[in-house]
Amino acid sequence: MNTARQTTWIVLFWAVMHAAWASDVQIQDPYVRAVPPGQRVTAAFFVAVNASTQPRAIVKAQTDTAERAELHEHIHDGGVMRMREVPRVVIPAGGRLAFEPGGYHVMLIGLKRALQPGERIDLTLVLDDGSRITVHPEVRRVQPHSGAAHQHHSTNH
Amino acid sequence: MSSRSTRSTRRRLLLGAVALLALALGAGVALWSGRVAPPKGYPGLGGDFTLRSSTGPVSLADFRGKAVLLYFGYTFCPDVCPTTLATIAAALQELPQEQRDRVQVIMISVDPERDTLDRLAEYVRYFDPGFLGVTGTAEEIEGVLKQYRAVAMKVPNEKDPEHYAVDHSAHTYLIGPRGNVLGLIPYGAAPARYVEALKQAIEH
Repeated sequence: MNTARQTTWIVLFWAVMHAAWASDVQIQDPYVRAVPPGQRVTAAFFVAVNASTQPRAIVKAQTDTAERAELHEHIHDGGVMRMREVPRVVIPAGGRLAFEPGGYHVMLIGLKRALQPGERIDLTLVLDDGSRITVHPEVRRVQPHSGAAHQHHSTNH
Repeated sequence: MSSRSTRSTRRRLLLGAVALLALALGAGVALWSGRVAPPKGYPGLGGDFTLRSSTGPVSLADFRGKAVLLYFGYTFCPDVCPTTLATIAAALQELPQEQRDRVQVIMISVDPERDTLDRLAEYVRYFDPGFLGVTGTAEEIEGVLKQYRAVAMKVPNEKDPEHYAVDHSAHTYLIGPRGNVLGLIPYGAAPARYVEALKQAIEH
């Protein structure tokens, strides 16, 4: 009985701490791109807002929808687009950072099924403090460029 | 951002080459940004080519009398290529039918290793049933890239060799009804920019 009670406390403590940690960073407007038939890669986008006084980094992404999820950035280098995996993406203290077309994205590699516009998938982001945020990006059709300036770096540099 | 600590000489050479190309293309983009196509186009840039689609050979010369939007990409590209193709598709929707009939969009896959002709066709048609996807052997693609002073470089993925990325020029070429390059539309341009460019090209 004692063991059960201890376990309950540990679980409760963990849940409270987990919630507290996760609240530092908020993920807004997550979405993932619908893809042409047969396409096995896609990208997920969102805006990460860090309300804490410490910089936080996203260090990992996980999903059940694909074999693998990676953090990628695009480097627009004199007309040439280079896409690279990055080990971490820092969200500045009190700042925000957009994962958006042409900038950072979570690349989903080896999609396990076709994604239908309107459905939602699970995406878990792991932060450098060990906290995890699970969001449910909506599958959206590819949108044209809005013509807005492509500014993928944080607003708080 | 942390950058890879080891960079091979080859990569440095490539970067040098890219910088030179960027300068050359920068001039073109700057000209096009003025929204006025130079009267004689870009002498020495572009030209005819013949590659293959799922329904047979495709030559640029097949589209004389039409404006052509030419884009180098690949179907495993998760972001830049779909966004550009969706933007072009949106632009075409804004053109009246008789003008749309005078436009051909061609994507050249710079990844013939993974992009079979059928896969490529399925990919481009997702954006617009009229889009054409073409590719060829690595040598043929290299030849067209040179003609258009564009670049494409496979980036090996040691962790997962099948899922490599391809760095590639991300602008779109506007080719006039006589087959000459009239302008380069940079990555990130909105549909209105393509509409304007196509209208100019059709009247050219």
